[in-house]
Amino acid sequence: MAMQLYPHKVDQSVYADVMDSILSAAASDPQLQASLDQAVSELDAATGGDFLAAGENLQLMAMNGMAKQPWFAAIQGQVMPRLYNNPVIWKHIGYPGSSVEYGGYKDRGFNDIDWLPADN
Amino acid sequence: MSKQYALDDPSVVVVVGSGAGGGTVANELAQKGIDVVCLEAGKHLGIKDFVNDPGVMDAKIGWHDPRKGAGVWLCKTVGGTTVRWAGITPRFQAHEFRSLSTYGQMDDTTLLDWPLTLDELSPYYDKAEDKMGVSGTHDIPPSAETNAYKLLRAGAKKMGYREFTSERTAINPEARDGRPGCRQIGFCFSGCAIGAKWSTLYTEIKKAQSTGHFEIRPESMVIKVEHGSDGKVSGVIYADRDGNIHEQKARAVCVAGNVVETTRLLHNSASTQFPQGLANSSGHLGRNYMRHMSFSTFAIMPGEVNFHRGTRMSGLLFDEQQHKPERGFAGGYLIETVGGDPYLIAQSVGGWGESATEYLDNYTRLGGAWVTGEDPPQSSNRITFDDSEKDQYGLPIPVLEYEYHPNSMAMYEHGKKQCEGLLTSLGGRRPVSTLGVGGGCHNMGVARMSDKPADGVTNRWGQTHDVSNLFVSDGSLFTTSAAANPTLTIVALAIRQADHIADRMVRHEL
Repeated sequence: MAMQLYPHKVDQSVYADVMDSILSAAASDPQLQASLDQAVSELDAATGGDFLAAGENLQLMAMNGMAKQPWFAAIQGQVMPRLYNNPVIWKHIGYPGSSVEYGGYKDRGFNDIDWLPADN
Repeated sequence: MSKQYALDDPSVVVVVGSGAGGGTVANELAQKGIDVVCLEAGKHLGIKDFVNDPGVMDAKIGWHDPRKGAGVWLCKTVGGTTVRWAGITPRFQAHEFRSLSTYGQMDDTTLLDWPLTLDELSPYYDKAEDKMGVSGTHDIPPSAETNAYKLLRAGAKKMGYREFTSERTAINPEARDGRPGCRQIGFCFSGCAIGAKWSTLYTEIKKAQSTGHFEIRPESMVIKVEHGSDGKVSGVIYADRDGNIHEQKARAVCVAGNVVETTRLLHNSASTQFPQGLANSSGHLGRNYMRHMSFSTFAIMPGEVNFHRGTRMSGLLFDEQQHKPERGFAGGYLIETVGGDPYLIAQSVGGWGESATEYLDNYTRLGGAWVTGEDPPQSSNRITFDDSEKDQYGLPIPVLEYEYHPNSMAMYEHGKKQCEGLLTSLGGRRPVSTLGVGGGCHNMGVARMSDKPADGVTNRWGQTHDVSNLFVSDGSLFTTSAAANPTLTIVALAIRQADHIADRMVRHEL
């Protein structure tokens, strides 16, 4: 599900790490665990019994049908920070993270935009 | 250096909160030789504690006590939300102090003219800009033009706009006042790791400490303001870091906890003499809560922008700030530069699947704009309390009830068209606007200033109408929201209030 939420062309282990982290958080968060249980049972039911084994199109169709359910937003809200605070994703999209140890961008391109109209 | 005052010393002024309002009023009083005890709920961190990691920093400085309803993005730390703020510091316009006279009656609003004018506040704006080191004022150069600013300006020109500037930011372009110039680090919201951005943490608080007339007590959560049978406040009750309860006596009290905590403190200070909450005979306490019409627009641009390089916000566009009723709404809005780390962008663009992922895959090519617009006061937008649930201090949980007014929705439709036009005029594609992004940074109203005691909680000095030695010193004072980012006006009002308090002390009225 994490992969279909934000399908970046990165090593799939990133998504597995995200889900592992959510599962361990759920161990002490019964509400989150309930959302996860509901997600698994509803997604499995909508994809012939095994969401993970279903094709991409079927997975997407199932998710589209459930995007308005509260558990969907709850899980998306857990995936989003874990995925977008992950250095593997950062590297993939070109975000370098912390900059203070390099002296910021004052001498490293904070004003190097070069494709704007000439009169700017 | 730093003084310590006895709990039973009734000569001190107690300031609750150490952010833009509290930190400023405390330092201004201490500079005049008035003894101040500043009680701050959060911890006392230093610049060395600031790392370029929004998640880590949010855990360190964010206010995470339970709240319900509309979300706010505030800080619980010495320095308050000035640790996290962007630093944008435009002044209000003259007509924004006279919103009722200028806009006329508007359905379902409680519009009111401020009990002071721009002319009266201007000298204090001047002092605030000097204090904060606002770029483009007091011989301070404009802020350096970042990629995000150059993009905004190029789009503005395409749209026929003329009033754009990289001035009006309280981040040092060059070293000044013992703080270094900006290094374009790009993590302003995580606490400036070099102290180039003005924050009361290392300006007002530090300067106050060196007067010998000031004590900061961090991890001190004020839960009640006490008063005597004469109807004047006599001290405050607070919980220290171990949960032990103390009473600090006081000559006067300035409350600056940001709107939620300011409301909760006065609400929780109800007594037989003030059954609706302290200083709430008008019934306006907690009402007329405003937070600006705010939204972000992002688009995928044809070339690299790299808005993560450099200050989070670094430029302003004033053309839509005027009141032009022919646009179909009252008041105006400011367009500002914006950028963010990937998580913030994922939240801002919203959605999921390939369509959301395409924005993040083009992270380095994203262009953005952020808008803050006037939000008319509504009595039904308010902060209430859920008495069935108590937090760790035994206080009822705040509930933030907030709905956009139709005027704000009309303004949003207009602003969205303009911002999306600005980005697409430069070849941007898939523009996406999201209402509410940044909502809860700017919090105003709830103890508004008014000429008549029946119309608000405080008078033109921020003194409560009901209690002569009780003051409100934060954005809760705002009679209306205007369009501009509020911090400069909070600081200007706090400087003015400190002058007034000192003046009344000299005349033995306090």
